[in-house]
Amino acid sequence: MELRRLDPRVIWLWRAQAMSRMFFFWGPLCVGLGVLAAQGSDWRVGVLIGASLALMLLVLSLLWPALDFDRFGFELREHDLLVQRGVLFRRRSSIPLRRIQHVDTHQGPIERMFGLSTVAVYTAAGMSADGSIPGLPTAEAEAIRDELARRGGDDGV
Amino acid sequence: MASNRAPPDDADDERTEVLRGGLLEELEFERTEHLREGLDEGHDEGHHARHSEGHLESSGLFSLDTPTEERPRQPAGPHPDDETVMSPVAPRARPVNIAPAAAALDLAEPTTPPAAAAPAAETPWRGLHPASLLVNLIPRTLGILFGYWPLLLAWLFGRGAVAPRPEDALFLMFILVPGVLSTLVHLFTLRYRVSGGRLEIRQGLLNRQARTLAPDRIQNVSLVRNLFHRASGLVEVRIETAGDSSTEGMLSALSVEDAEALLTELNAARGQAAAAAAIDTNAPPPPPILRLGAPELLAYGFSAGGLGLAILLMAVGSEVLTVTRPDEVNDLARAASPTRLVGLGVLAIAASWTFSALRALVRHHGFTLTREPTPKGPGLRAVEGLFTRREVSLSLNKVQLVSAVEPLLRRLMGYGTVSVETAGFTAGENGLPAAAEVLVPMVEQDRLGELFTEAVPALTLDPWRANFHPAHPRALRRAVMASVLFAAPIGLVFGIAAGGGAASLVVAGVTLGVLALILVRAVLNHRAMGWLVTPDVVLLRGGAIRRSTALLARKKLQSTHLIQGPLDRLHGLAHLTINVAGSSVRLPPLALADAEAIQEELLRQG
Repeated sequence: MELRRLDPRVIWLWRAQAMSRMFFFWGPLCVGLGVLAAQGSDWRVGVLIGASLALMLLVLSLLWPALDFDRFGFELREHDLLVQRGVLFRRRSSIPLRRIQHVDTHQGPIERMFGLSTVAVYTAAGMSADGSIPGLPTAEAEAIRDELARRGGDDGV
Repeated sequence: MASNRAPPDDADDERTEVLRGGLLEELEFERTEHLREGLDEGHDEGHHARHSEGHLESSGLFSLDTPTEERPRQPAGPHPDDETVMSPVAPRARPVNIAPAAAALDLAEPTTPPAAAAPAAETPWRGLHPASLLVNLIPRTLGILFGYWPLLLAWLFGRGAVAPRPEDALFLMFILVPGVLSTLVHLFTLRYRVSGGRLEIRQGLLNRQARTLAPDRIQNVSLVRNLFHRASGLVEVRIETAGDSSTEGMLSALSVEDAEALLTELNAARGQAAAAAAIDTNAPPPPPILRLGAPELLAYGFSAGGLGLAILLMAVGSEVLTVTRPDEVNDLARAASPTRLVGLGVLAIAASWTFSALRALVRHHGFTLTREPTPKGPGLRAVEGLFTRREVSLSLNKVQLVSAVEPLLRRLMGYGTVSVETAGFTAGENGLPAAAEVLVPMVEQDRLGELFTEAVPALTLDPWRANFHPAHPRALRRAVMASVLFAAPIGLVFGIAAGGGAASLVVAGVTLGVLALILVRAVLNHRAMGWLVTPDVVLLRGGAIRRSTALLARKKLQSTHLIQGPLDRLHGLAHLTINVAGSSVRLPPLALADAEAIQEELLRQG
């Protein structure tokens, strides 16, 4: 079954998000580990460990979004919203339309630069979104949100 | 205080209350005055005046919960009473400054309905029973102290001979004051009423809150009466709706008559449309589905006592001993032998069993489960508790998940435990969330299926006699592979750390032994797993040693998720997770195509 794809720009969005995580979290962590490894041994060992870790993460954060994009698909079907994603752990979520409690679209600062939005779908099942579709052009995201909100119904609680 | 005082001219209710209170006070006052007659007659007037003034002051607290009466005076120009408060920040001459103040007030209470002219026929607000102050303060204070037992223990035994210091009293205050304050605020500010078919609750001193609960959305209602409540004829009402992580409608406490009146009103509001007549109040109460006696409850507690509790008891005991009698502990440590240690362990386990058996007896004493018709169809009602009496009622169409567990010991006794969950949250023993709204501690194995049908009438078969579909055969291979992949590296690391020779051989032997155990467990678990999807329900079974069975009605399904990890993909398997409100269940590993088909099938009639 052919599912709807995300906007390909999402690959670069995810890369940018990974880079910001790299800068604020993983980068300092690599530096810290390098410094820790340099204690009591040659400083070059520390540099080697820190740099190789950072390089590995960098390659991963460039490659992974492309794989993730390849695996991502969604479809608004007659009775449900189908969202499929995941590279290592593949997940295929089916959310019956009449069980949708509310739908929202949101846009972070990096997403705004790319002109993309995320649609999050909530049911009565839990606190977090049961299904979310990232990387949609804002107009499309809003159309999907309104369509889902229109077709939501009885909550079954 | 003065800023919150209700101006007498727009708070008629308050005034009558004050007047009534003042009169009563005066009567009492006169009695004492008679005794003092002739001693100081001249001060009589002054006493009276001060008394009624005092009442006005305390009635200010009551006026806090009536923002609709309070607010119109904000834009309507300063009241003589307000002058003292307003003048430092906003002089009378510049009303511009008052507007932001009013706006801030609006922000502070966004949920309060706009102050419309109250119609004369409006349902009056009701408050909590005044005696609930005492009834709540004592057990809550004890409860808080009990909750901090490790700290208190450290405090009492931690410094040996040093006398308690003032800082410690301060520390105790720090722990206790928030609880006491919240009890006071709850009592003095909470007002409730059933109006327009909905339950409205207002409360809060600084953060005012106005809640409206639609009776349709009520998941379950519990009535809790601890010893103090019972002595004073009060009852704590807890009304749960879905989703939130706290009790939405907590009324602590009402007199029994008020509580009954409230529940009757709510029931009437719930069943307005049709089913109000369904309840025949004259019909004799139905015979209980289940009633548990002391032996069964003792057995329940006995089979619940865990190793964890034993270890905890041992740790606390040794800690107290170390601090109070350090010398003896040293002697004990010197005298320690394997036999004595084993003896000590057995003792601790026995103590934990006794403890949990007694706890079960107190908590579930007189457990009775009955059918109870509600306006929205059949329901269940459970009553239990020796000191604190709990009464939970829920409507069957709110039931999300029914599950049974049969831990080895309990299963050998021929029993299992059933829990019925709704989407609401229920406060457990210490205010912690407890998943099950109705927990039936001990059910004979023969009756487990019957109880399932009792909770979900759509269930037409007995899960303990039905044939379940097994997990996919390849799932066993997958489970073994997962365990080996997990255990082997650990064994390898330990083996290398042992540094070769005899030690490494021992490590290798232990690793092999553990692997064998894992294998046996995997095989047993694999054989225990089963699933069944009928047109109305989903049934699941699992666990070889601690057998568990779960049941959910398909009309309660919220969403389904098919999950496939790397190992699953290697074997062409997938897990299907089904979410209902408040819980989720997972089917055993199935072939990917089958799992996908079930996901579609569940959608069709879900």
